[in-house]
Amino acid sequence: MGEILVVDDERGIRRLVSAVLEDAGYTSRGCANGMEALEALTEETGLVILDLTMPVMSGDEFLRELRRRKHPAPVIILSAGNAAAVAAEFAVPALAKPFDVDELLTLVAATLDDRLTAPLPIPRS
Amino acid sequence: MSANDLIRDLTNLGFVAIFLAVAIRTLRRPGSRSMSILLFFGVVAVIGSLSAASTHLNLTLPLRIVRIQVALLLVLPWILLNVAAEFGTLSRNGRRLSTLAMLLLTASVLVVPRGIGSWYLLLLVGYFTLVAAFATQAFVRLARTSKGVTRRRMQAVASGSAFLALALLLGTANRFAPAWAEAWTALSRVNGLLCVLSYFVGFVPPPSLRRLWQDRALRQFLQATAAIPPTADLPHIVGRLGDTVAEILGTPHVTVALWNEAEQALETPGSPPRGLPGSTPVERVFATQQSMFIPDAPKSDPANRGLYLGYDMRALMIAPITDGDHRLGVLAAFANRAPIFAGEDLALLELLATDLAGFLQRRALDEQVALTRARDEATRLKEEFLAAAAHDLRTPLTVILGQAQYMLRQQRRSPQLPIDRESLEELLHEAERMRDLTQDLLDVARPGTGGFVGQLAPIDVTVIAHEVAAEASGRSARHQVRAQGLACHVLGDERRLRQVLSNLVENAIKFSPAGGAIGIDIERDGDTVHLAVADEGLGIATDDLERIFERFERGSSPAAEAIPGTGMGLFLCRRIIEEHGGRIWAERLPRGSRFHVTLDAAPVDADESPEAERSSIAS
Repeated sequence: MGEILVVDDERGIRRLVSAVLEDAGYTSRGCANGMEALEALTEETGLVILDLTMPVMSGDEFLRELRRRKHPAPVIILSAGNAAAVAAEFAVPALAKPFDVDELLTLVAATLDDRLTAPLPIPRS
Repeated sequence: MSANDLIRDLTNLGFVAIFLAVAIRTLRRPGSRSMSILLFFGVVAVIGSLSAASTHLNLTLPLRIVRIQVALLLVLPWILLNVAAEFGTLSRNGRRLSTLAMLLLTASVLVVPRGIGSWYLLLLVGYFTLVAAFATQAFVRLARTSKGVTRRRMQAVASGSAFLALALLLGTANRFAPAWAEAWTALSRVNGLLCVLSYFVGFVPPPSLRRLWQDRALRQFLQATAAIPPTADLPHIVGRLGDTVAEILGTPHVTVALWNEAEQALETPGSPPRGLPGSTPVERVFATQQSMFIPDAPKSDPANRGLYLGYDMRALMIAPITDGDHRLGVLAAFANRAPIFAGEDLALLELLATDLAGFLQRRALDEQVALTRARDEATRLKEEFLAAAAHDLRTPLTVILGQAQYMLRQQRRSPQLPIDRESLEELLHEAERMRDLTQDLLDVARPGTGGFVGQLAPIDVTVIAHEVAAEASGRSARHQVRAQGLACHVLGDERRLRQVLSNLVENAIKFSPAGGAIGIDIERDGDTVHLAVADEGLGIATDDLERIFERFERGSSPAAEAIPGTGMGLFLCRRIIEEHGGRIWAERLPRGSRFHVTLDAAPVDADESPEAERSSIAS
């Protein structure tokens, strides 16, 4: 299973999401904007968790470029603003900030399940 | 009929026509001035008619009639002098002398024996020419001192008077040089025709000519309105247009009184409200919407007698400033004597008032549009601010909530594990961020100025700068934040000054998404401490350099707009620094930007030996 890119200009959020993902058994990598994410993108990239409002290159610009490159990695939008329009345009799921950690993990698992093999079962208490 | 005769007849007809026109005018509006003008043209018409009758009917007029005719001719320049005297001031001695000469010569004409000799004729012609020249000179002087339509009419009257004197002089020349009799006669008659034409223009100008003159005046007024800058305030506009109207009309003073709906009173913008008692002419004109000419205002409006006399104002012309159904006010022109051609001036004043009404209405409309636009802009700023504030609050909230959930999750799974200290610190940091943000929200909503700065104490801004730099470098791997400078003490609120420096450094980081060096430099220049925060980021558009310090305003470049923010930070920085008596401004660099802050140095610095230069570089 490939690496998950966590794209957000807020360091605190990148750090949190990565910690949660890694705790759940995924590998992740933080990117501060769309441009950094494009540079980090490889064939191994399994999923992109994407903020929308970012400097240098915004989330929707990144999505457009991803589609242009026909990259197969699925995307989950994680945004504080209204993500409905972008989510609909690119047919990707969206989660609003502040998000629920369990909800995020469920959505990550489900999204990866659609494309790849199921991830490790999420430990629940 | 010879050409000479035709000219003579035309001249005579012309004078009769002017007489009739003036007579009709006098009947409509009796007044001493019209009477003396009427008398003048009446006398000319009688003299002309008598000579025409004798020529065309081949009559030899009896001597008595000829004597009366000549006597009337001698009275003529004297009446002209009276007309001039009514328009302006004349030398009293000159008038007395001419009256005496007129009486003596007129009487002599009636009794003088026949064939008295050429010297007598020379005496009469000399008297006539001198008095007519005196009147001409008076009209020339009047033309010079008046403006607009009046000036043109005065010029015409002055030329008419000069032609009159010449016509008589040339008409009698054949007596002294009979060899060129025909030439003299022709010249005299041409002068007579020019005289009647000039008087026609001067005393009863045809409507087309009046319109032409008015058009010039109105154009002058339009040019004056066009030259008014759109930002000018109402008192300035009203004062300027009032002056323009005064210049066009040639009156010393013009007042624009506008209707104040709230006060239910007419008032001159920019002047203190004057309690005009009772029903003043100005109020009457506003109420009736009928323009008014008052030749003797102190007499017609005794309640304000003192006011008129105090300003040495006698005559008053008032026209309503009305645009369609909108009664805006009145335009009042004052003069220290009744204007020469009151009807003419009143008609022009009405036209100017109408133009003024149009201009004021357009301006009110423009103002309305600007106001609506400003309101829309304020609404837009507020909406953008609310969205940004919600976004800014949601980010730390997201981290706090997520972090807490994540930590709880870990604790549930492995209760024996110690609590992750880094996560706890992160939680605390984000909670503090939210606290600061809500404090900013309260600060920015605070009305008026003041209240930002609490207890003042001598503090070393260089120490604060180092602390801020160290904290910031720990938070961003891509930015190198350094501070350098000697110890510099200012008298300030430490918490607030730290807030300013943190904000400037945070902005520098935020607007340098690609990373780079951020420097805080502190130096003392005389009594001033100068702080500068420079970055290598996106930079600021020249047009935005001042605007970004306004409430809720942010950089307008697309790159800067993509970075979320509320537009509160720099606004608060400015208020804090200004409340410290300092100054804050932004500078555009070839790459990035630099923010400057100046503060008064605290006197303690002088007593301390300068510390060694400190420098901290962290990344």
